[in-house]
Amino acid sequence: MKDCMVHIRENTQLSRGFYRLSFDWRSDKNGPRAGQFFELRIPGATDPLLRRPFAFSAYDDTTHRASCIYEVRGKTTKILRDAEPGMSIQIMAPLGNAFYAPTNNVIALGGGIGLGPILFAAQQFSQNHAVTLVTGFRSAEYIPHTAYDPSVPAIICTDDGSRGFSGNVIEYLKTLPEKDLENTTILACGPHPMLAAAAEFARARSLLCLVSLEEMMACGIGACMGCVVDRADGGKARVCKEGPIFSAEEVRWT
Amino acid sequence: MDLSIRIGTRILKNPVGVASGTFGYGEEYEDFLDLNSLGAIYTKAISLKPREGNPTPRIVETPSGMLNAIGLANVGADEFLSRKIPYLSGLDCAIIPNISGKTQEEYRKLIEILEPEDAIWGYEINLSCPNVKKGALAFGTDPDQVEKITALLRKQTEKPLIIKLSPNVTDISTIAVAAEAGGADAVSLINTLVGMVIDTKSQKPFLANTTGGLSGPAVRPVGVAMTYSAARSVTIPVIGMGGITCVDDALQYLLAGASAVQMGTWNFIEPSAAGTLEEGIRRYMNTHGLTKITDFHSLL
Repeated sequence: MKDCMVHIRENTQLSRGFYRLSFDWRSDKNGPRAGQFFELRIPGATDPLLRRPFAFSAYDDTTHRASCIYEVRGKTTKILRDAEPGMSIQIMAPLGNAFYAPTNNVIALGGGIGLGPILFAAQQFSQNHAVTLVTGFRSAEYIPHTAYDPSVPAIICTDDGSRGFSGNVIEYLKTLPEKDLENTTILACGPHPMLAAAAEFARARSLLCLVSLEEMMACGIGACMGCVVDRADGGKARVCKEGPIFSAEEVRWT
Repeated sequence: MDLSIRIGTRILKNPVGVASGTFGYGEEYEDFLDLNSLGAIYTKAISLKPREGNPTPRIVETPSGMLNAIGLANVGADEFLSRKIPYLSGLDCAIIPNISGKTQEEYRKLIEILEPEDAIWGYEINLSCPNVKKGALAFGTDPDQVEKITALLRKQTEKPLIIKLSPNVTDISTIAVAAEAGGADAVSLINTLVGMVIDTKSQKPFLANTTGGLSGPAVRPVGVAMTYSAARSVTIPVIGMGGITCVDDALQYLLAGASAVQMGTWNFIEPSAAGTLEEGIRRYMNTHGLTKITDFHSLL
């Protein structure tokens, strides 16, 4: 894990609400894996003060090009939205743990801004697993078409039915024949209610479900104890250190 | 040139420290700087029993700052000794646990439990955390209570006893004076300022705890002013902190009368920054013909 200054190589709006940021970043060992994240700092700034966490959406081991998909939420992402290629940003990475899949079949489930690490997971796991990529958006204008790897088949769901399956990703999962869900690991990233629903869906079918959690973060390295979530067995876990990937069973869902 | 500072019966090899709550138990930062180059590590506050801390959200950014309401989440005294001390004892810097209790007896008991551990250089007594229901803040705002509890703890140890002061008071110099009267070897300040963020979408306080402690660059002028005030009220060393991000910030504190400094919140932003302070202080002293840290104190 290290902290270094890099230049923005690409900063593109992909669709309504979603942008992709890319930079060249050479990691110490093998590159980051799907699920891991970086903490980004705007160099020289005290406002915004804290770094912001972004999940990797892609990493090319040959070109060392890293990407994330972001939406504009506050101070830092507003700066990012307006940033030109060539601008310097400070990246501390790789942080956190990664998705894994002990089964041959994988369902990669992405809701809204959860898309980034799920696209990375689908691309990564499709090398050795049978991957079903299921992504959901509010409506067709939010779909970031160019972010999808054409070699990985994807199911698109829209809440308003303007494209693909009409409904959310969990409703889509419920249309699948039960036998298609055997020997399957579910990887999920998206809004908290989606993750809770995925957890329940998996629990009812005795499937392993791994969720990527999010919590307000300061240090990103496990020191400040800010980003904790409640564990099912009592106690708290740090999203930046014990996570962000947790098995749905170990999380206390309220 | 001598950058060392005497605090009570012991010496800090240089005036640079990292603040409690911002540096975990040290090991978290070993990839980012040479921990042996620090004068002191003030560990996360230790309580008698492990604490989970407050519900989330327990941190939020503010303009050039942040609020935290962590609530003293820590592993407790026993696990600190068995699981954290082994790593810390291998370091060549002063290991100073921050101590937090709900009652005077808890503080006393904590010192009693930690005292036999040789790797512990001294203690920083947290009489100032705004994020727990009873105890600390109540003690830290009343000079009589501060003097009493300092005197009680003074009897427990000959190791350096540093009282950490709250800025949430009318006049911090009266609290500093009380700490000295109770037998403190030094005072450290400032702890965080009580602050609040309201989420205008949900119309609720952002933090689950409602309020939190403000830290970061925004508070630096408050820390410097209070250091200036405290340093003129006591004869014991003052350890200054609050919003230090760089050498120049640390120099302000030294010029205000501090004998040592702590970098805190900035460790979250630039985890290697604490490792750059000593060299910068040394360079300033060289340029200005200062030979020891106390030389800073007659310049203002």
